[in-house]
Amino acid sequence: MPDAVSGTNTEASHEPNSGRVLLVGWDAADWKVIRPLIQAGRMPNLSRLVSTGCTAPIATLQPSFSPMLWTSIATGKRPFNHGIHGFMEPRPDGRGVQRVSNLSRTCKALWNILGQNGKRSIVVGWWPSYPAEPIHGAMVSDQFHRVAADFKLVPGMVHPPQFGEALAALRLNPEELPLDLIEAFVPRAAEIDQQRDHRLHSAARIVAECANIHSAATWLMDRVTWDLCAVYFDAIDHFGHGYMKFNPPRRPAIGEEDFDLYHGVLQAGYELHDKMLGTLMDKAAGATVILISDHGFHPDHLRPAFIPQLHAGPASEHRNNGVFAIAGPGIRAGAELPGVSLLDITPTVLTIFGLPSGADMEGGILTGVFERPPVTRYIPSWEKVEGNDGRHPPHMQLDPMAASESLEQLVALGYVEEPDVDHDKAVKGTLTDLRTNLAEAYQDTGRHADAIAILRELRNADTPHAESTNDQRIALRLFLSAMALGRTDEMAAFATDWDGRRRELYEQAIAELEALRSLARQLQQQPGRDPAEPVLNPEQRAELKRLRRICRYDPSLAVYFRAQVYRAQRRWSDALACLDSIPATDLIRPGLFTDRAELLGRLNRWNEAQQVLNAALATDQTDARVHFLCARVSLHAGDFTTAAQAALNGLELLPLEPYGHYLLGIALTRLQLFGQAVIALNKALAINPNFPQAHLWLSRIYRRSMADPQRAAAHARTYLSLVRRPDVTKSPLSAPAAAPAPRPVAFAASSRDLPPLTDEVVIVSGLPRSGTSMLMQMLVAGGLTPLTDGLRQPDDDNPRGYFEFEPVKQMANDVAWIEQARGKAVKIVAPMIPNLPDGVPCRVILIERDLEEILASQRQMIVRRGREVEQTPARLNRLRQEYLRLILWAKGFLAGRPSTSLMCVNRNAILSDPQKAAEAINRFLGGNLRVDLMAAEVKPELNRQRVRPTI
Amino acid sequence: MTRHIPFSERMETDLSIRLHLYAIAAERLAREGTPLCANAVACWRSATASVSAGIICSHTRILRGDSQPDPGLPGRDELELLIAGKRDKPADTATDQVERTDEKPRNRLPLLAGKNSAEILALGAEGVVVIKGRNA
Repeated sequence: MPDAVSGTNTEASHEPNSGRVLLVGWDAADWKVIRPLIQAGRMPNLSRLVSTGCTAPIATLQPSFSPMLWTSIATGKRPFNHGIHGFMEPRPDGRGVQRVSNLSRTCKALWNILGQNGKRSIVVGWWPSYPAEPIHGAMVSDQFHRVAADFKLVPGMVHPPQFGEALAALRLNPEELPLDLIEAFVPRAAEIDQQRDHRLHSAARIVAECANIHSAATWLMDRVTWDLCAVYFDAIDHFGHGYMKFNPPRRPAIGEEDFDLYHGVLQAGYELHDKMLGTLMDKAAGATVILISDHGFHPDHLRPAFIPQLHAGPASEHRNNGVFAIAGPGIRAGAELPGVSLLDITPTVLTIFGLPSGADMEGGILTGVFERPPVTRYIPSWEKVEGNDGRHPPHMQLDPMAASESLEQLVALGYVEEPDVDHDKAVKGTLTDLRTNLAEAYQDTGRHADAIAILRELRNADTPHAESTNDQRIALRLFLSAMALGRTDEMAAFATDWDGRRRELYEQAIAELEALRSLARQLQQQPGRDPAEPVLNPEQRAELKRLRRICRYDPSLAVYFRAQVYRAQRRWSDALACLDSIPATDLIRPGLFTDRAELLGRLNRWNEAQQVLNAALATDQTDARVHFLCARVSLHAGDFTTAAQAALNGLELLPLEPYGHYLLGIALTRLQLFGQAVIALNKALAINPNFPQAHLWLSRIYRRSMADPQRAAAHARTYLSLVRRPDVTKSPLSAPAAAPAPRPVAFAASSRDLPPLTDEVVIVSGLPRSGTSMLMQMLVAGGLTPLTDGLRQPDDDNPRGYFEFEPVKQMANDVAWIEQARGKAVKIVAPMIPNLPDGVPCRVILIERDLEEILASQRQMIVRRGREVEQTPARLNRLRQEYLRLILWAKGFLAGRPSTSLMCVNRNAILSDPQKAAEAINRFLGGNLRVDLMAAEVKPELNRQRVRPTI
Repeated sequence: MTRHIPFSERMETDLSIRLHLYAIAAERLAREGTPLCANAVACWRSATASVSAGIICSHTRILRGDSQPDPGLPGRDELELLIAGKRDKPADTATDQVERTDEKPRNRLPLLAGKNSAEILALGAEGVVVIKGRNA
């Protein structure tokens, strides 16, 4: 094991090829499709890559949603450490949602790290990469290639922007694709009535977008010096979701005509990718080439019969193992590697470049791909390495949850207009998705305490339960975490609810749905009905939608839940009886086999358990957990070699499952291969250090077989501390460290003497409750005219008035009023500043205040206004972070805005020396104000939050 | 070319060869004391929950085999068909969850004449110029 920071292997090692790396991403590519195509000679370029390098099935992460996965690939980190949690995100202004951007990414990507080390990168199409980062090299964002109504070149699509026009001219529309190309996908394309059947156009659109990625990549490769070229193609995933159902063999549900038309689309997609890969490889001659996919795609009998109308329903078509292939200088040829994870890509590429991996990266270095053991080095974290890394500036970063809560707070305070109902619904739905995805990511690493905290919060916020879109998903995930945490009571309560209240709702909805269906049939058969018109009216359609949501309930799961409760209560026979009552038609995926086999083992019916597992393997050989259970059964049978082989089978598919390494460690101990057993058990602990049994086995090995009492004692101590420690699962989710308080800014620090005011707009800005009203009072007293409508009356929170102007709240939609503000003072809270229209000269006074005081003051004001906003420590912490970001953002925006002068003042500095503050402000505004009157307006006695409150 | 060996045959491979590959495949740094898995629960319970996650997701995602009755046209929802009353409207591609709000209105593909277009397109930027030139 290397030293954690700068260690090297003790074996002879060498600097690997430190040349270039071509990293090609094919979303959803699957060896199950590729291998037969290679055998048939239909993918010659990939065949070349495979034969000259190493391959592996690469294990995906859960949830297997592409933006999260491709960010993990590029950062070596899991979603809770990289910040990308889903497909969509709320817009920063809270007015609706948008496709996920890279602004939520909280850590450096590969290209940022390389840039800090003098390496140049080309990045094309990576998901998510909009807006393009100002990296050392060139970046074409994931918005560039999409066929859109106007195909505009939008700012942020390309970095550096001067490449934009030339690249945009290379984009193709589907309508520009020649017939012979389309016929490669759909040989009978010319026969299709395109008015009726849009699938031909959909396929052409995927091809065109794929070509747009490829042409941008090749254009840049010919013109930009690069060390890393990372190109991501999403087309195979799109072909999969659209056309895998038509892939041979034809399934009964697929009509013969449809099958005949579209059965070749998917494979033609792979062939086109192979041709493009050939070009990229030729242009990257001498480089190390890596091909990866983020997950696989079921191409066989495991294809789902249909896609459920659930969040991320199409992800049910994904398979847990994708594609990994690597070839190049110093890379071993012809090897098939065991156990590769998406998280291993960044550490391995860094090693190829001779750079250390980050000890905070969650993957490993794939040392097995190198002909000779490479030098493996680590630094604690690349995040701590300072210097220009080509990321967006900090003030542009976005935490969707915090941004949304901040907006909610501002609405509650009355500073921002209530959002549109539809927008609000979309934002809330998206936030729920993001939070649920985050919980699933925690569950994927066994962090169930973190997961359950999020899921409970979501469940409590989500009413009415049975009709909520996400309710079933959240409830099921809660059950899983309760199970992992040993919360039997909670499991039982859930199972009872599922089998009682929810079943009743479901059965009622089924009956109502049937009635609606009958009605629809009757209406459809009415003579003279216009067949172009929908059968049901809008109210009936809404009711249908509601009923369908309730019908997402799956009654057969009730039996499964009951079985799990029995299992948790150690009632093995009752649990098995429940599972045995589940219809055989449900036993398609091996999961249920696995549970049955485990229960049979508990009942000492090991032979039957093995038979059940054999049936599971006959269904699907690629489920790692079946292999792990096979290992367990073999261990019990005393067949330790078979146990080790089975554990290795599972680990090839799921290398980051500590339980698999643990089982292998036991098998190897029994085989008296102690050195290798230690390696396996240490791998288990590298993934999950809180694994008491692994420590126990290591302690035994060191004491009994390796004569190392010191290590034996150390592991024994750790084992005891883990089994005796307080239940971590009961501790509340610890709040992240509090945001650092903003650095005090003296009011004169950023001010300067400016000429007298002309037609500029004087803007008073800051966070709500930071002292903006006090500043307005000072300016008015000094002689400036305010732009205010007086609609918001003085109250206990602001006894001397707010000086607000109602249209400011709607700046996101309308800023025509700004012309009225020329030569006057207007209050615009910081979150509204981005809506300032171009071309209006401004002098902005930005007031800052201690964040704790602001939050306390806001809380008081919200209470007085009779509004209710959640005030949990976690939410307050997110608000602090977001407020900090908002102020940073506003400063950055105003500093870079043409015809704008900015003065930052600190509220406490004004209160402690009003005269000096008034003088500084007067100089900033041209020197014509009445300083004495301004200073007299400052009333320190109104400073009610001066004492730091406890919140 | 590397021959891919299925798992059924993999068990025949000498265990020592597989163990060697296993040992060298990836160097995973022990991170004891770091917060990566600080809140991870006991491993076996977590593993059991993972198995259940697979099952439950399978069920909620209606992953059943071909023996199940087809609810409608492939990729369709029968109730949607019922509402619309148009059984001939084909399903659109799912495109991995992204709503294509910026989708270009569907034009009819003109099906322009071409030759060796896949090879030309695969050339990248140069190929696109050729295709655009032909269409001009």
